[in-house]
Amino acid sequence: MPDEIQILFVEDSEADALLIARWLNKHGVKCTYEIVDNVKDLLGALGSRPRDIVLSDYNLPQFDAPQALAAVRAFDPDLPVIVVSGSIGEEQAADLMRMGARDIVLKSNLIRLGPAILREIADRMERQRLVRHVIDAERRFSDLVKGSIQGIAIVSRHGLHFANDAYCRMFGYSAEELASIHRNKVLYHADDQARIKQFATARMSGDSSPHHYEARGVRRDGSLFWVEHLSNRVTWNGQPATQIVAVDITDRKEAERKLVERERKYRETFENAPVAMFRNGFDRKIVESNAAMRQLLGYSEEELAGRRPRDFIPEEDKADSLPLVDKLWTGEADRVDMEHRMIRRDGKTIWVRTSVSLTRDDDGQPFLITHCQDTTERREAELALVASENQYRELFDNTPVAMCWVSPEGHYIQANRALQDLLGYSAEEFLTMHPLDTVHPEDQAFSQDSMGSLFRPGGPDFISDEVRHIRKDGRVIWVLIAIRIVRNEDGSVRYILAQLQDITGRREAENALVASENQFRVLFENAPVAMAWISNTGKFFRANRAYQEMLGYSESELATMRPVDVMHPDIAAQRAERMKKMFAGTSELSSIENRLVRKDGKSIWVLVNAKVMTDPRTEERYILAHLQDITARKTAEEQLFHSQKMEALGNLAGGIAHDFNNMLLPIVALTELTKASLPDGDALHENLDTVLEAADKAGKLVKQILTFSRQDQSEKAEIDISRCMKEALGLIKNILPSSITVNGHIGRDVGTVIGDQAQLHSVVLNLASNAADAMAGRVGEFEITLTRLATDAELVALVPGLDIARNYARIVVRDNGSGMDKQTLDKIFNPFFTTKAPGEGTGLGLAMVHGIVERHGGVVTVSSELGVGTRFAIYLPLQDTSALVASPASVPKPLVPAE
Amino acid sequence: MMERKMARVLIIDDEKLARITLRKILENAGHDVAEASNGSEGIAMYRAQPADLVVTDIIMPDKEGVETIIELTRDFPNIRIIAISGGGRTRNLDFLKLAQQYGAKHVLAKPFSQQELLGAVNAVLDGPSVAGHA
Repeated sequence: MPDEIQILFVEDSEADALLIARWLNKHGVKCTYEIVDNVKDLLGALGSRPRDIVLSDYNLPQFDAPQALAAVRAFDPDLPVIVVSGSIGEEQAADLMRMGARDIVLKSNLIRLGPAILREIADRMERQRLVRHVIDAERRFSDLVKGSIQGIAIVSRHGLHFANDAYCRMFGYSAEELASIHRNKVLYHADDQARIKQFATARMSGDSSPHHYEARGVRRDGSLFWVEHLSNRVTWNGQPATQIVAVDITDRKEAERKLVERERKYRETFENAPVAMFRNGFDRKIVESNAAMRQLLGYSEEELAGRRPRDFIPEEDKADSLPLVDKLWTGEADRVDMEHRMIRRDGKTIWVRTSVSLTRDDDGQPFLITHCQDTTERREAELALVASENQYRELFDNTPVAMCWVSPEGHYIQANRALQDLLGYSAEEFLTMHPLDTVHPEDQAFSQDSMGSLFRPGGPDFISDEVRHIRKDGRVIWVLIAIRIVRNEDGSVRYILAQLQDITGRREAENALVASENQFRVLFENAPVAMAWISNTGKFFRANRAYQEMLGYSESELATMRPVDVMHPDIAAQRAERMKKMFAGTSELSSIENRLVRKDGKSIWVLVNAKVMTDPRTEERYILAHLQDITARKTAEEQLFHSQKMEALGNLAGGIAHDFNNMLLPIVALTELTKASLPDGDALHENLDTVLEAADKAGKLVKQILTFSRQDQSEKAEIDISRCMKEALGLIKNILPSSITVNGHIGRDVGTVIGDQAQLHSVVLNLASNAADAMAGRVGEFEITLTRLATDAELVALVPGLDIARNYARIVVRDNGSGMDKQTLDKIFNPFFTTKAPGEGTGLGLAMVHGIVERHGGVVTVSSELGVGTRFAIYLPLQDTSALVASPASVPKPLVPAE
Repeated sequence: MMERKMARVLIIDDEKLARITLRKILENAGHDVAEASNGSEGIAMYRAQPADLVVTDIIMPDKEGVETIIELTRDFPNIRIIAISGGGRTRNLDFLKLAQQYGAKHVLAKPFSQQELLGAVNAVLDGPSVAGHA
């Protein structure tokens, strides 16, 4: 507080001033005051000496508070004004405060005025103290500004307000000159002017944020320099202005440019280097990578940044590579080179040769620069080459085929393991040997010739031979040798490649096979068993001699025939079907009785054992058939069967005949006895004769039974069969009804038969009787033919049972009666079989015929066709003598002597 | 025929009807007839009382004809035997021929007429016996 405060009252009444002065004095504040009541005095008072405070009444006759307030503030805005008024409205009070009044005190409350005055004065003093301080600071600041090496200028839209020396020097103008020029257009490079103006406009429009920019300044002498501006909005003399801090940054700019240029060059070099590179720090994280690196791994720069090299190295390669890099950090090495794999972004693994070195940046920070070279191709090529070489070497050495390289001079270059094993020499021994050294002496000349031919101009490039070699252990082996010549471009021999194969086993097997085949062929050809191969075309493939003999065909004939061609027509179709099944595999083995027809027509029975075989080489199927002639057995079987049947029937018939004869004895004998005891002419004679006649017929029947069952006794004699049949023909003509024409063709001098004439008569009579029955009263023909047959194979084949060694008389009896079906034909020789009505036939006639013919060593055959007729043929063996001995016809003994 | 002296005839036949027939024919012709129904019985009867003539069947049970003939001719070499048969039960053997070979003086196949029988009887009785009997 000042010792004495100077108060200026704007008042028309001094009483108030005194009152206030007294209160101030009373409170220890000395004061002097002056009272004015108009503007003129007020301004004069203010200008006369300094005042500490103005106290203004609100209403004055010539004046009022607002006017006083405006005047005081115009003079010194800092001089406090307190309005003192008797009464004042709130609105007026608010206006006054807005206009700058420090306080408003009502006269009715003057007690407040004293403290308000003291406060305001204290405030002002403090403000003034601050102002002084500011002014001091400003001065110091001004000195600083003026003396600053940085250019400082204050500008506004009105032009340059201030520019320090540094600023002036910077542009080469004096402050005055600067103030007179259009700064923007003169001081700055045309390219920068728009930008600078833009900043200025923004500031003037209220943008208070500082603008920091660089621009190219133009010196007075026209030279350019780089200036850095820091512009911010300030108030200069109450007006908005811009303070510019300008620094000449030409040197820095140049340094920067050089640095950028260097950096750019470095970066370009790094980026465009053909070698893939990356840089990483102590934390191993990749800081930067070049295009080649990115291309190598397929990642973008952003993707690579921050990742570590180990992220791209497969696990199995880390152990070999990463520890090496650590040596750089520990100072054990300045550079490490290694080769390892890396995994590309696309998952592909590549081989990379990396070279890592430790270096430091400008700040001295250590980092790693890594050069990577894609060695995948080289690596793969190397690996492939090595693998290929290994493969070939291993192949050559381990192939089971014995092989060797031989030089044109005839030295072994290399012999593989198989060859060492084959010939028993070691690889080293081979190197000292000549290829012909191991050749068997007997094959030497031949081998030399072969070898020689290879070296002759135009000789073959390849030869193959089977020669004997002698192993180191002396054993002789057969070798299949294949030699290939590899020639130079000029045709000369580069080297010889030979392959050797031990074929000793094969040669031996071949020899054995040839021998075996010969053996088998001989066996097959000469086997006593008929054998035939049947091909699946259904033709004979081969038939051995026994087969040819059995069938009577030559080998060449059989070659054009089919097996079915030699089969009996009855079974050929069935057997052909069977063969088909065998070839089809549905029937494997066959053992079957077969009836064949020889070339001479004779039919034979064979037991065929057939098996389907497959030729292992051609896969063709064959039937191998063994044939055994069982004709004799078959005939015997048939005969046995027939004779057994006949024997059984004969036993039966014989038994019946015996008992029957016993029965007949009393009938015949006692009837005769009775007859004899009757007187002649007795009527009973006729009755008894009938009994005797019936008994006689019964006796004849029994005789027939006994005949076929051979129970009777026949008398065999040499019979002239021609005469015998002539007699029979006469008998036939007598017994056959006149409706039947009888034709006889009895050959003369046919020959002699050993037999029973009566029985032979009964044979033809029986047949004639049957023929008559078959014609059943119709007009018909009966024919009997006797011929002499010279027996041949054809006949024997046609008529089973004939002896080829004998000649036969053939009696053919033929009728054109009703004929028989096959079922009937099969049974006609069975005893008691009859087609006649009961009581009309005994069924014994043909059985007897059969029995008689058989007992004469002959054969009887029959053929018949329903509605056409029946034909019997009787074959009787002729005596070999050509002389015909007449034999008296023996008449059958009558059962009952004529009376 | 009627003037022939009576003979004692032993008939051996298993068939009763045959024995009756033979007895009637032979007795009608004046012969003395004895009957046996099989070989054993016949031999026993012959041993007990020999006959002038034995007419024996061949096929008989117990002891058949050929065996009987063999036994009788062995024991009685001069015996006169006629063998008769109705035919064999077994084929291929001509029993009557066999009987003849073993000593039957005559053989007849059944059935035969009374003339045949009596003719045979007379022929045998008239014929020489080995021992010149009768």
